[in-house]
Amino acid sequence: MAEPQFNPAHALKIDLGCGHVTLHGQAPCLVVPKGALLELLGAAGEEAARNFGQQLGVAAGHRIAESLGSGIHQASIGSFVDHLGGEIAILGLGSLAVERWGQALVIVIEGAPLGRPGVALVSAVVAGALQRALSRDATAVELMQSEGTLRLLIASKAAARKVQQWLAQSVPWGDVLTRLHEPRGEA
Amino acid sequence: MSTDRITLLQSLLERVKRNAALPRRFLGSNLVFGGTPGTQTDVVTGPALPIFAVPQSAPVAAGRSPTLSGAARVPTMSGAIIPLPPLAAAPPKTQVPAEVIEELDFDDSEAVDVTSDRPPPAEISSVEASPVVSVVEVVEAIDTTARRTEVAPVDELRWTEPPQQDSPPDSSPRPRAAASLDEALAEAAEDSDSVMPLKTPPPESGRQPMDGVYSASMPDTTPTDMLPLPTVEQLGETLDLEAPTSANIELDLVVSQVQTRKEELEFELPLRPSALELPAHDELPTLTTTQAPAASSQRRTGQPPRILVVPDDGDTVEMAAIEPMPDIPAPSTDRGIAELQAEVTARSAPAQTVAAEVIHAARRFTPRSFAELLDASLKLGG
Repeated sequence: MAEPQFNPAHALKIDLGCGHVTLHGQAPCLVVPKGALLELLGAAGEEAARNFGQQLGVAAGHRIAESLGSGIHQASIGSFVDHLGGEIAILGLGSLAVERWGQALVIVIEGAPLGRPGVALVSAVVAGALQRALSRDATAVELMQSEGTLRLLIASKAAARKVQQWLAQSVPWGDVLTRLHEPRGEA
Repeated sequence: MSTDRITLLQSLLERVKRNAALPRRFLGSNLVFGGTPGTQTDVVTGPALPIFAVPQSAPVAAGRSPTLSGAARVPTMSGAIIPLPPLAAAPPKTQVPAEVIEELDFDDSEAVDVTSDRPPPAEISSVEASPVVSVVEVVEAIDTTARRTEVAPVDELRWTEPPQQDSPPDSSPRPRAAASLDEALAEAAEDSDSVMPLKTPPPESGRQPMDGVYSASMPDTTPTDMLPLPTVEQLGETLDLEAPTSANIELDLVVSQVQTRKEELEFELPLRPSALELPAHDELPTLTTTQAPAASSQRRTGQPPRILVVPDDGDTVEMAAIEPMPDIPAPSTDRGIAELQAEVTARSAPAQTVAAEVIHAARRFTPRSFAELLDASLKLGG
């Protein structure tokens, strides 16, 4: 059975007469410059940025679930990345790709907004989309960021806390991934 | 002028003379050529009145009165053609002898046809009226021509008379040729004193006198003849040169002491006693090794560069331009006859230490879906 492709047609509509912008036919949206939004999120705090991003991710996950339908749990990695990446691109948050390091799922976003409010926003969007689309309690943890590239590790909340501790201890993100694959007794 | 033309003109002249002998009354009243009179113009102004004029020079037969048969049509300014009733032409006042009329052999094309629809153009009247005057003028012109022909020989005779009585031309005379060599030398000495003649004879200054010394023929002398011959003291003693021999000319080649900086593609040819000798095989330019450091070191030590390929004699021209630059690999030729060698610095042997040790291999994991990969990732570190 062929998997449905991401269709961005008429995803964003601008009604010049009424002055409304519609995203996928849902609630009127605002077109806000990225810099202004990040400045606002920075002023609001990280928690507020995560909540804001969570709402954007949930909406994206909802559209992914609608697109893939009942076969979303059997969707291949490519198909799911196609839809998730499409939603992230429409939001203007960058280009999404997936890396698999052993059993670890790492999402790479090129051109993502960097800085603390930007990373918090993107992490919340990805986590909210996965939670809403696949009904998993996933957490996106920042592994590294450099030159517009952001790597997020998808892990549980317990594993996310350990990763953040290791990263705070200046453990390279490669070693962090290695440690995640170690047996529980050793980790 | 052809003979027929001359004959025609002579016959015309006779006829004119004969007509000139007639009384004037015959010529003045009836010899009117075709065309409208001068008072009647072709342009009709005013009301469209029937204007009709019968030219007395209409071609009519001798002895017949000119009459118009049929209805004549006269053009008007408005373009309408008014038919006219036939009119009888006025009889001539004086009976013209048939002989006179017969002599005036007019051309039919010169007559105006009043029966035609179109009026004759204005130029016709003036052109055709001119012969009226020319009849008399021709006689006068002929008389004048005859008088000129009689006077012409007199002028020629006067022209050939010597200009003795005429005033001399207002110009300096032409330099006359000297009669002898001494006179020429004397005149040359005089000319050297004077810078330039006072008056230069213009080309239209008139004839020069041709009598006396001017009538003498020019002596056939050349400038070299006018120069004095060298004396014996001036000539001196003449020595005869020896016959040429077949010995080679030996020239000393001076080697430049100043060593100029060589250009990039400059090749200095070895010096040989004679330029006609062929270079020796060892002197031919060769392609040296392109190994830059080695070449530079060899150049410093003074050792000759190692010869890789010695080209044939036919390749001398192309190979002569190749000389490697210091510290820069020399370009290769397109013939591929040169073998380029590069200096390769090999790495040292790797240390006998274990760079990595594999403790255990990861389990083989190939997720079939994104959800399976997500679940596996969520189980990590838990």
